[in-house]
Amino acid sequence: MSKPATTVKTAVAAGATTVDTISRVTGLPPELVTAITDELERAGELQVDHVGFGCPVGSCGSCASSESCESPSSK
Amino acid sequence: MSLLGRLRHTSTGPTCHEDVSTAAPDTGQRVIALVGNPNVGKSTLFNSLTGAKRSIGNWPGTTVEVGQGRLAGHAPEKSTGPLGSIPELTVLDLPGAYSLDPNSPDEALTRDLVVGRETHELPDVVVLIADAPNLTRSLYLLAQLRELPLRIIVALSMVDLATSAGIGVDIDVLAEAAGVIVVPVDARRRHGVDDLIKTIVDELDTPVPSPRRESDHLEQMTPLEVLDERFAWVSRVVDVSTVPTAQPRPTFSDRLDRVALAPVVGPLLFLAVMWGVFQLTTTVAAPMQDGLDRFAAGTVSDLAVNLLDLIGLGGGVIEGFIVDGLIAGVGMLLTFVPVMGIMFLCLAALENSGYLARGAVVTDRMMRLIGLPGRAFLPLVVGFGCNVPAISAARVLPDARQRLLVSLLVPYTSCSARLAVYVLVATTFFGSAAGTVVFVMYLVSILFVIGIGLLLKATAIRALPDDPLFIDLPRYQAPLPKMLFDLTWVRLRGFLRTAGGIIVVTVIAVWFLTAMPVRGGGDFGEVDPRDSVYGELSAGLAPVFAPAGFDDWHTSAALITGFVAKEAVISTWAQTYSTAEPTSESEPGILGERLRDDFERTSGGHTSAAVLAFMVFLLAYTPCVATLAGQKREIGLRWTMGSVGLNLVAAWIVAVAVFQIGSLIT
Repeated sequence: MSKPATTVKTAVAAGATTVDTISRVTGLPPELVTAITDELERAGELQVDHVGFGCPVGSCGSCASSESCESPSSK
Repeated sequence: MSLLGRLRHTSTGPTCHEDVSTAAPDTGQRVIALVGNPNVGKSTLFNSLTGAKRSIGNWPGTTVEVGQGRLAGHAPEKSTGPLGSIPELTVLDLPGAYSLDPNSPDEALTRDLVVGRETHELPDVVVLIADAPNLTRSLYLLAQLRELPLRIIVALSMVDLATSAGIGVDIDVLAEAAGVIVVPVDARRRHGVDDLIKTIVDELDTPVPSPRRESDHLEQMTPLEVLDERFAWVSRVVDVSTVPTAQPRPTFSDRLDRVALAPVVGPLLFLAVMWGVFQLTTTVAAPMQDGLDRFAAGTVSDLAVNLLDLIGLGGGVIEGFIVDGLIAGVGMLLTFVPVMGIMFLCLAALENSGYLARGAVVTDRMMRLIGLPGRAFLPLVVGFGCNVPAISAARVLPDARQRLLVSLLVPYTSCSARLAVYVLVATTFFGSAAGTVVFVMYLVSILFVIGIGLLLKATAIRALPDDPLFIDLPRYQAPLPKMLFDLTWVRLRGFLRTAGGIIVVTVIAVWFLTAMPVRGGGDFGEVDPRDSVYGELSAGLAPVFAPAGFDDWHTSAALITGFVAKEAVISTWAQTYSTAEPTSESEPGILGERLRDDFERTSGGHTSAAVLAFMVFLLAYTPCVATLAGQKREIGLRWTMGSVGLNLVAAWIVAVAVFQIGSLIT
C-alpha cells in the first residue's frame, strides 16, 4: 500500500464511518487504520466525532447554554 | 542552553518525579531520553534503569511531567550480568506521546524536548519504548524520530502479550527493516534491561546518524503526502517483522458490533432500544408522577388553603395566585422529575455503555441514503436532549449551508421538554400503550427531520457538500453507576433550574392574564378563566385548530405558552382548567377528565385522532424562545422568522392530515 493515509481519507469520504468499516473496504489492518485516522485528525485532514446526548461537539464556549450549564466540563 | 538547562525551566511545581529539581550540571552531561506512546511501560523501564522509587500507573497519561534520574550509581539490584563501567548518564522520562505532531500539552513538551531547537540540544540517545501488541502505533513515532539526527534504540516491551494475542515479532527482522537497534525488554522482571543499558552505552560512542527519510523532498510535500510516506514505511516494517501466530480472537465489542452495526438488524435494534427507553420512562415514571401530583395538588394545596384561611387571606385573589398559580405550576414541575430523571438515566447509560455511538453509525447510514450529510446527525442527536445546545453544536459543521440546514432542522428534534407533555397526554388517552405512543412521536420527529431536510435541500439550500463523518467507537463497557447518577443529576438539575424559572414566570403571567376580566363583569381574580383576557385571546385563536380536531380554547392557551417553553403547556392547562384538586389512584385526575371531555367534543368523537394531531402539532409548531434566540444568533433574523413560519405551516398541515386521516379510521 503506497498511500495508506490517502486511501483511508478516501474511504471516509466515501461513507466509511468506523475503523472496522474502513479496514474492510481498504484491506488495511485495523491498527494501521486507527493510527492513520489519529494522524489525519492531528493534521487537520479529518474530523473525528464523539457522540453524546449532552454537551455539543464544540467546546462550552460555543454553547448558548454555557452560562446556565452545570456540567462538569464547564467548570 | 542544553536540554537539561531548558528542562529546569519547563518543569514547574511538585511532581511525582521528585528529583527533577536536583538535575545534574548542564555542562557535559549526557542525556538518555525515554519516549513512547502512553501506557507502554515507560515509567516502569525508567524505574528499572534508575532505581527511582515512585508510583507507577498502568493508565494512559500517567507520566505527565518530565522525570529525571541517573543511570550511574544505581547498580541494578537484580542485575543478571556484568555491565562493566557505566558512565554518568541522565535519564529523562518524557511524557507519553503518540506523535511528534502534538495535540496535548504533554505531547508538545515531548516534541519540544526531543526535536529541540538546535542540534546540541538533542538527547544523546533516544530510547523509544514500543509495545509489541501495538507495534504500528509505536512505529509511527519511530518514523518521525528517524527523520531527525538522533541515535535511536527501540526497547520492545510486552512481547509476551503480543505472543498471547497471536502476534509474533521477529526482533532481528524488525531491527533490519526499521534500521535501528531493537532490544526486547520486560522491565517488570528486569529481563533485557542490562542489555539495554549496555546498548545505550555502546551507542553513545557511535556518530550521530543523519536523518533517515524515505523521500528527499519531505519539506515540499503536503501533510497528507508526508503521512503517506511514513505510514507506507510503517506498513512495510510491520508486514515483514510480524507474523500472525494465531487467528485473532474477536473481542466482546467486536462480537456485539456484528449485530449492532449490521445493515438491517442494526437500525432495527437501535429503534428497539429507543422504544425500550421510552417504554421504561413512561411505565416506571407514571406511578411516581401520580404520587407527586397528589402531593402537590392535594396535600400542599390543602395546607396552603388552610394556612391562608388562618391568616385571613383565604378565598381571594392571593389564594388563587398561590394555589392555582404557584403551587399548581411548581407541582406540575415536580411531576416532571421522574420522567426526566429516568429518561436522562437511560440516555446516560446508552452513552456510557458505548452504544450511543453505534446508534450514530446506523443512523448516519440512513441519512446518507436520503442524501443528507452524515455529520448533520450529531447536532440533531443533541437536539433530542435540548434544542438550544443543538443549535450551537451546528457550529462544528464546516460549511455554512450545512450549518443553516441543521439549524433549521433542530426545532423538529423532539427535545426532553416535549417529552413531559407527551407522557401526560399519552397516559391520559392511551393508557398502557402510552410508551409506544411516545416512541411513535420520536419516529414522527425523525420523519419531520428527513422530510423538511429533503424539502429544504430541494428548494432553499441546494448543492450541499457531503462532509465525511468519522465516528470514534469506544469499547462497550458496563455503565459506571456513579458516572450515570452524576450525569443524570447534572442534567436533571439543569433542566429543573431552567424549566423551574420559565414555569414560575409563565405561571405568574398566565395567572395575571386569566385573573383579568374582559367580559362577564367579574372582578380581578374572581373571573371565570374563559372571561379573562387570556381566555378571550385563546378562544380567538382556537378556530385555527378546528380542522385538526382540537379547537378548544384551553388547548390554544396551552400552545401559546408552549411557544415560550414546552414545559409550560401542562401548567397552563392546569391553570385554565383550574384543576388544583387531588387525584386518586383509581380515577383519572380532573385535568385528564376535562381534557378527555374537551378533545372528544372538539373532535366529534374522534378523540384519538385529535390527540395524535395535537401531539404532532406540539412537536413541530415552534421551538422554545431560547432556541429561537440561538437560531437568530447563528443564522440571522430572516432565516429564523422563515424557520418559525415553516414550523407553523408544516405542523398545521401534518396535524390536520393526521386528524383527517385518523378520523376516517377511528
